[in-house]
Amino acid sequence: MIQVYPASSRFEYDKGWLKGGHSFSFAEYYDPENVKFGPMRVCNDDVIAPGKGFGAHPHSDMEIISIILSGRLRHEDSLGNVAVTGFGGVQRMSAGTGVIHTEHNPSEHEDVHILQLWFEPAERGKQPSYATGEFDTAALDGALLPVASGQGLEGVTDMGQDMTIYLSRLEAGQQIDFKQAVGRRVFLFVIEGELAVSGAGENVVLGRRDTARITEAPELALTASSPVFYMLVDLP
Amino acid sequence: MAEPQQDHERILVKHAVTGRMFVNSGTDDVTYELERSGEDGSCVLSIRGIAPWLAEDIRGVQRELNVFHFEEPPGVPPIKHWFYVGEHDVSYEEATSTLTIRTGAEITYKPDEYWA
Repeated sequence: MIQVYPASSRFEYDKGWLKGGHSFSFAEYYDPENVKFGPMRVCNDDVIAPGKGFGAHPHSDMEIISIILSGRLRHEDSLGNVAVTGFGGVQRMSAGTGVIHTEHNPSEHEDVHILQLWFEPAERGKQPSYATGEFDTAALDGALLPVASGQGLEGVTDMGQDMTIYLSRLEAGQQIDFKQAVGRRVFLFVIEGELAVSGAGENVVLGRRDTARITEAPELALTASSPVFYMLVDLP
Repeated sequence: MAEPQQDHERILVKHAVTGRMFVNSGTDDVTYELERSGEDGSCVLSIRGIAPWLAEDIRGVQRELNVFHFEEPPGVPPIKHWFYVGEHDVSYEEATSTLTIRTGAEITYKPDEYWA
């Protein structure tokens, strides 16, 4: 089954310093029918203005992934970690029994655009930890590139859940096939462009900021209707 | 040892994902007692004046609670204490309208010492 969530159905926000959309219930947006997809709890498409960000606040028992699409994001936490990451970088915080952190845009001129993703961990109550990872942005072209994974992929930022986050860029007409194992879920998010998705006897087209939640589709064909940049999350 | 509530201090119980405020002792008609009981940093927070429906809401998301104790003396930066709440650590006694939260790890932080 392919369930499409058009960009227009997202909860959009504009606080001046922070603009974007929530794909799941978050902050002031609460829809009891849209709280999670498997362990996936949050997908925030955030644009943070220069010099602005989130002050010190706690997290626990959540795997938090920040994918930087443009600009730079600075992270600081109570574990002593400080990191500044740009495009091609991923920040992973396994909040476990608790961590305090801040996130802000250190630039004086440039917005930072991030996808922030929260996932329930496979195991609660673990020691908190933080890591950054990098990927080769050229390797996104024509491929599904894993950028964070709890499935033991070598050279990929690890996380505490049986899942993998992929990014991909395709030229118009290029196709990638993805095999969805039995009982697994796929979350698709189109960052830019247009993606045709076929599987389980269904055909849909996703535009910019559209998402889809897919189950029971063993063979997925992902075809770029136009040049497309998208994220695929393979979930339990 | 039990610490009765003080002026310029308050406790907050919030949902970690939506930020929904369940309890704010600074504005709500509740009283609380915070007992730092264990050498492991665990605490027992007892809040009186909690309606049954609110207790039910809190217990419904007890895996995702942010529990805070704020010290906010005038003229100086606040000190915040955040407490980890485990899976089966929230109970309610309707006869006394008391919600009891047994917390795990405590993190004390001063927001002004971070970027803000």
